[in-house]
Amino acid sequence: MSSTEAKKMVVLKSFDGVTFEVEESVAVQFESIRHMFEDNLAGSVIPLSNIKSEILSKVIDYCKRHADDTTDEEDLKAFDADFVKVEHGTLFDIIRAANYLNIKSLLDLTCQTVADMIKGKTPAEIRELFNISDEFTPEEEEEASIITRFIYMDRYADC
Amino acid sequence: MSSKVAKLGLAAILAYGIFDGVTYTSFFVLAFLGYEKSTGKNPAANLQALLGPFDFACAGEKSINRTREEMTPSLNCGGEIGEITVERHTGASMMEQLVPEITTHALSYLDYPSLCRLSMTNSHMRKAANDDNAWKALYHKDFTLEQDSLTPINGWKAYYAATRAIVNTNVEFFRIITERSLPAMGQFWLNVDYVKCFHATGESFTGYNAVMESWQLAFSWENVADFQIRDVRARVLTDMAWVTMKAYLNMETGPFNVTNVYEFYNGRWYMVHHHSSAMLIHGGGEQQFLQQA
Repeated sequence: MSSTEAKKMVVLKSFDGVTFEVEESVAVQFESIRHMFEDNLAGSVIPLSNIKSEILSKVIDYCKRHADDTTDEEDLKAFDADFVKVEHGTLFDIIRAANYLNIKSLLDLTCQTVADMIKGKTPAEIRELFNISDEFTPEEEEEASIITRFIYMDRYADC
Repeated sequence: MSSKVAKLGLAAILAYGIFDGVTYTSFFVLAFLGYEKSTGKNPAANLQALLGPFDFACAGEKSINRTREEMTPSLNCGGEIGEITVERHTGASMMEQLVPEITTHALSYLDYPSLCRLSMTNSHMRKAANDDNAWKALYHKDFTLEQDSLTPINGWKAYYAATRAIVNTNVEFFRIITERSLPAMGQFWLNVDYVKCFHATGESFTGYNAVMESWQLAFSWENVADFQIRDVRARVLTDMAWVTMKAYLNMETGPFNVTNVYEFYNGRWYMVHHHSSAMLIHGGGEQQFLQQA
């Protein structure tokens, strides 16, 4: 590994004003802002106006781990698995950050996590899980209520 | 009364847009049952009267949606339970706040029952889960990478459903052969004079009656047990579909190339053509053959 002095550093500033000094080798994973420090803007502070410091630090952690060639694949998998074990709010914030910064592997990882949560659940459970309301258009309601009537028919045949 | 409702209900399910063709799978029965929690709180007054029990009626309070509350003014659970539920559900859904592209990306990791269930959660997710690209991705994952350049008229979800229906019908054909059920085979074919059947023996038959006689004979001879069906490829048009596949038997006759053609008639698929031919193997064993396949 080369010495610290030799590494180019990039400074990122979160929405709530916290700055993070990050090695360029890590920051290049942020596809969408890559040009900003590649265009000789190194040294200046890059503002990330819609990412909270808490989320940015997680994202940087992720990119650091993935930039490190010495980590073996099994460890990386275990890291990824742990990384997504966060509250839903945090997970969705990370998804948004990954999308904003255009970090494909992180976006894939987090989207897969959301999909895994949905799999095997009933509509009611999914609603509960993601705090989704049950709003339908009147047309959709009508369809649903007819189907429900059909389903309940056996149980309430005498009514 | 209940039989009327039954007909209405059945018609509704059959008419349930895109779900036709796959309605019959057991998943949908389960999914619809899962739906009851949500639809139980529908403003349909008679339904509320039927359901009665507190938990269903009270479920209406779960909704923080304004429209919903306006639609159900008479529904008032009040009380502590209601308030707690509301509190727990305060705040807009994180899922719905995502930009559409990310939602689509996340949904591309879902399987078919999950996409269907998600579409039953609410109007917004229904739109997201009905996304054409999500269903195209699923089609490629579940069926084939072929037909990539297609633009199905009614969208990929409809094409996915149609393909699944015809693939299931095709599985039924092999089940009938395995069970040697002549009546079922009789139901399976379209009763017209132009149907054709080319058996692996090399014999061919034209017309419904001749084809049925040939199956009767085949069922009395053949000692067929388990089929393994591989490389199933289906192409579905509005009222016609053809399916190609390789059929492997667990006996020593070797595998067959099979083509089945179906026509959609009076609301269901009927077989109109079956062609089976043994794959010829010259001077090679099963191993070589499998490599070719």
